[in-house]
Amino acid sequence: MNKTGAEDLGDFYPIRPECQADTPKPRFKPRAGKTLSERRWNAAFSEDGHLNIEKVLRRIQRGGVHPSIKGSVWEFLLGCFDPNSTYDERNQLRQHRREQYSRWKAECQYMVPVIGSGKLITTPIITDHGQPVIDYSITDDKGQQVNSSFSDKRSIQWMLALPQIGLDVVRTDRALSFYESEKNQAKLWDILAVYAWVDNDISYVQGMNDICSPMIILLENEADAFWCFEHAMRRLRENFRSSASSMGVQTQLSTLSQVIKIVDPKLHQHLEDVDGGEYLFAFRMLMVLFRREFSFADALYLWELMWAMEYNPNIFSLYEKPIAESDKSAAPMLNNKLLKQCGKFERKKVKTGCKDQESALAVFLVASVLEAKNKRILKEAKGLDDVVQILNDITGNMDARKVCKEALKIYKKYLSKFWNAVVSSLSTLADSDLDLSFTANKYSVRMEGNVIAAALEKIEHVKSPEGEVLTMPFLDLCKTVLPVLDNFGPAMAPAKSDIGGNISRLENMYLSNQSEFNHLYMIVRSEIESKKAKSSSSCTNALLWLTRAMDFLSELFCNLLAHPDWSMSHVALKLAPDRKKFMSVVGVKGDDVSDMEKFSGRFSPLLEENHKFLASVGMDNLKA
Amino acid sequence: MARRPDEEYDYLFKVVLIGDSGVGKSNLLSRFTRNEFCLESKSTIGVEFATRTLQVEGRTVKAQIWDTAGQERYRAITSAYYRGALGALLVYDVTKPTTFENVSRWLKELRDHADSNIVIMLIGNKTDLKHLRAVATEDAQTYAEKEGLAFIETSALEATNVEKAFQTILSEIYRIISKKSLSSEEPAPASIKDGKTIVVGGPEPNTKKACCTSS
Ligand SMILES: Nc1nc2c(ncn2[C@@H]2O[C@H](COP(=O)(O)OP(=O)(O)OP(=O)(O)O)[C@@H](O)[C@H]2O)c(=O)[nH]1
Ligand SMILES: [Mg+2]
Repeated sequence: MNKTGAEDLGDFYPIRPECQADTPKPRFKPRAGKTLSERRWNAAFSEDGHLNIEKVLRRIQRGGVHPSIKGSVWEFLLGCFDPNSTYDERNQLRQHRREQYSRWKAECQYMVPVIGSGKLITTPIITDHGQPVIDYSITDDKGQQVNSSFSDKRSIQWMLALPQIGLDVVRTDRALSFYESEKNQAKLWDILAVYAWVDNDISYVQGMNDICSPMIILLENEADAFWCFEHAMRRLRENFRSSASSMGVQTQLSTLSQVIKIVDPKLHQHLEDVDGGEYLFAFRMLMVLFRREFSFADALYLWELMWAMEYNPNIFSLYEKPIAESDKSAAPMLNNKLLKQCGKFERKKVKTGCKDQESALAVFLVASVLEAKNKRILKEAKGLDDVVQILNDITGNMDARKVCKEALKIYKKYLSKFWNAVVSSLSTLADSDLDLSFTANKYSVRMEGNVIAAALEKIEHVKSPEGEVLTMPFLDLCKTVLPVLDNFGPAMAPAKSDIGGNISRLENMYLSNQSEFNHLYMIVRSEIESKKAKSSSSCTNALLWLTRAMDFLSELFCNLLAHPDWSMSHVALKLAPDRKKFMSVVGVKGDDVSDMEKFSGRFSPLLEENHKFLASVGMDNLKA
Repeated sequence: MARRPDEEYDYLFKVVLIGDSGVGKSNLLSRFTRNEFCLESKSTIGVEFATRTLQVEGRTVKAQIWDTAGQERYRAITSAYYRGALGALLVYDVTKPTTFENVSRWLKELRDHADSNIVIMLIGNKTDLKHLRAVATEDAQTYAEKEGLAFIETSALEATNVEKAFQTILSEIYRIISKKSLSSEEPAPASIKDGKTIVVGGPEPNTKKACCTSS
C-alpha cells in the first residue's frame, strides 16, 4: 500500500483485511540511519557477546527498533539480560528461565488441565468457595474443568481470575491477523494465567493483556515471551494493585497532577474547575501505556523509546538480586561510564541515586499529551466529558517521538520550576501553594553520621590560602550536605537529582583540566571567554543553580536555628520532618546547636561570595 | 456559555453502564451512539464514554453515557463516576448465569455510591444466542419487579431493543425530572433552567459540574 521510501510495517503486524478501515494507520516507519537495524544490532555485540548498550540506546532513542529485532532488543531494554554478559551466560540463563516457566506452568496445568491445551476458558470453573462448576456445554468428562474442589485461598483466587483472562484474551488486538489463530490466543491466555499464579499478589487485572500481547508477537518462544512480560510488569505492577478504595495507578496520577500544577498552572486550574483534578481521565494511558491511543506499531515504538530513555545499566543486577539485598543497593552510585549507559531520562534522574516509581517517564508522556492539547482543553472543555472527548480524538493522531521529546522537556521544566517554587516558598516562609503533602507520609529518615560536623570540617578547606574558592573541596562540601534533602521524602528527589547533576557537571569539567580549573571561578571565566556560559548546559549555569540549591539548605539551617518551635506546620514544606527528628538526623545532639550555628555562619557568606562573583560577570540571572 | 449550534439540547442526562465484564456494555453503547457492533471490541479500562443527542418526549436530550470496566478490581475507580448519574443500565448476559447472579452485587454498589433516586434498568443482553440462553426471561422479570427496576432484553449484535432500552430509561428520567420541577415543594435539585438550555447534573450542590453554565 504505502510505499513512500520507508518500509511497510504491514508485513510485520498484518491487519485482518476486514479490519483495515477501522484500524488507525501506523505512523512509525523504520528509517535508514536512525532506526536500530538488524545489521547495527548484530554489530553492537563483541565476539563473545558483550553488548555495547550505549551505542544501541543512542540509536533507539533516535528512531526506535526495526521490527525484525524488536523481541531481542526489548529483552535487554527491560532488563531480562545484562549487556555485560557473554552469549554463553545468557543462553544458560535463558535455559534456566525456560525450565522455571515449565515448572510453573505444570503446577497450573495440574490444577486446571485446560492450561497448555491450546484452548481457553471464559466462564467460571469454580465457585467462590472452591467447588467445581458444572458446565453442560463441555461434553467430555463430567462437564468439569477441575477435578476436585479446592480449599486453599491462593488456588481459589487464581482460578476465579481465569475466566476474566479468557474474556479479555478473546478481545485482545483482534484486528491483527496474528490473533485469528486460536493457538496464539491460548498462548496469551496461558502466559497471563501463569503470571497470575506466580504473582498472586497482583494476579490478573484487565489491561495486563494489552501489555502482554506484543511480547507474544515479538518472541516466538512462549517462556521467553513470559519473561519479557514479567520484566515489563516489574515496572508496571504497582499500577495494577487494587484495594476497595483505590488503585495503584492513582499514585502516578497524583504525580501527574503535581507536575501539571507546576509546569502549567493554568491548565491544572482549568482541569480542577471541571472536576478533573484527580486526572482520572489519564487513567487508561498509564494503565496500558498508551496502547489505546496509538496504533499497534506506534505503541511499540513509543514503548521502546520510553524504555530506552529510562534505561539504567544496573537494571539487570537490581532485578536479579534477592529482595532483601536489592533494598540496600537500590541506589548504587553510577560512575561516569555507567551514566553514559543510561537513557536520557534516567540519566537526569539517577544522579541522585534515588529511584522512585512515581515519577516514571510515562507520567511525563501523559503530561506531554495534555500539553499538546492544552489550547483545546482550555478553550473547549466545559466539562470532564469534553476533556475525555478531546483526549479520545488523539487516537492514532499522535507522533510517538514528538511525545517523548516533549515529555523530556516537560521533565526539565518541572525540575527547574519545582526547585524555584521550593526555594522561594521556604525563604519567604509563606505557606506554599505547592501541596506536597501527599508524599509526606512516605518520607523516611535515611541519613547516617554527623552531617553537620562533617560539613563543618570540610568548610575549613574550601578556600585556598589566597582566599580563592577551590573547585573540588567546594563540590565535596555540597555533596556532604546534599543528603539532608532525603528527609523531605520523594518529593525532593527531582530537586536532588538536579543538584547531583550540577555537581557532576562541574566535577567533570574540573577533571578535564585539573590545573586550570583548580579554582572554581576559573571554570566560569573560561566559559565566558568561549561564549558558552549562557547555555543551559554550561557549568556556569550549573554553579548558579547549585548555589541556589545550597541557599535553600542554608536557609533551612538558619530557620531551624531561629525557630526552636520549628515544625511541619510552621514551614511551608508540609512534608518536612519535625525539628527534633530533623536535628537528630543532621547530627545535632540534644539541643547543642553550636556546630550548626558555626556552620551556618560560614556557609551563607560562602554562597554569597558565589552570587557576588556570578553577578560581577553578569551571570547571576540565568534561566535553567 | 454559548453552546455550538450542533450542541443544542434541552437536557443533559448522565447515565452509567454497569455489569460484569464481557456482558456487552461497550457494544450496547456503540450500538446506541454509532449504530455499530464491533467484533474486535476491546475490554474497557477504567471508564470510557460516549454521547448521543436524541428526542425524548418531544425534548432534545443529550445522553452522556459512561461505560465502566466490569472487573471487580476496577470498582474503586468506576464507582467514582456514579456520582451525579441520573440513570444506570445494569447489564447481564442471558447466556451466563453468574452475570445474572451478580446483579444483586451491582445493586449494592449503586446503593453505596450513586444518588438514591437514580433510575435503574436491568438489561439482559445477547438474546441472539438463543441456543445458549441460560437465564429465563421470567426469572429476570420477577427479580426486576421485586427490586423495582425497569427490565428489557436486548441484542447489541442484532440491534434488538437497544434503542428502546435507552429511550425507556431516558424517558423515565425525563418524567422524574419534570415532575420534580413542577412540584414547588422540592426545588428541582437535578435541573437548572437556563433560557433554552436545561442542564441536568447531579443533585449534589457541586458547582464545578460539567454542565454548569459558567465561563
Ligand atoms: N452474540 C452477541 N455477542 C455480544 C453481544 N454484545 C456483546 N457481545 C460480545 O461479547 C463480548 C464482550 O462485549 P463487550 O461489549 O466488550 O463487554 P463489556 O461488558 O463492555 O466488558 P468489559 O469492558 O470487560 O466490562 C464481545 O466479544 C462482544 O462481541 C450481543 O448482543 N450478542
Ligand atoms: Mg466494556
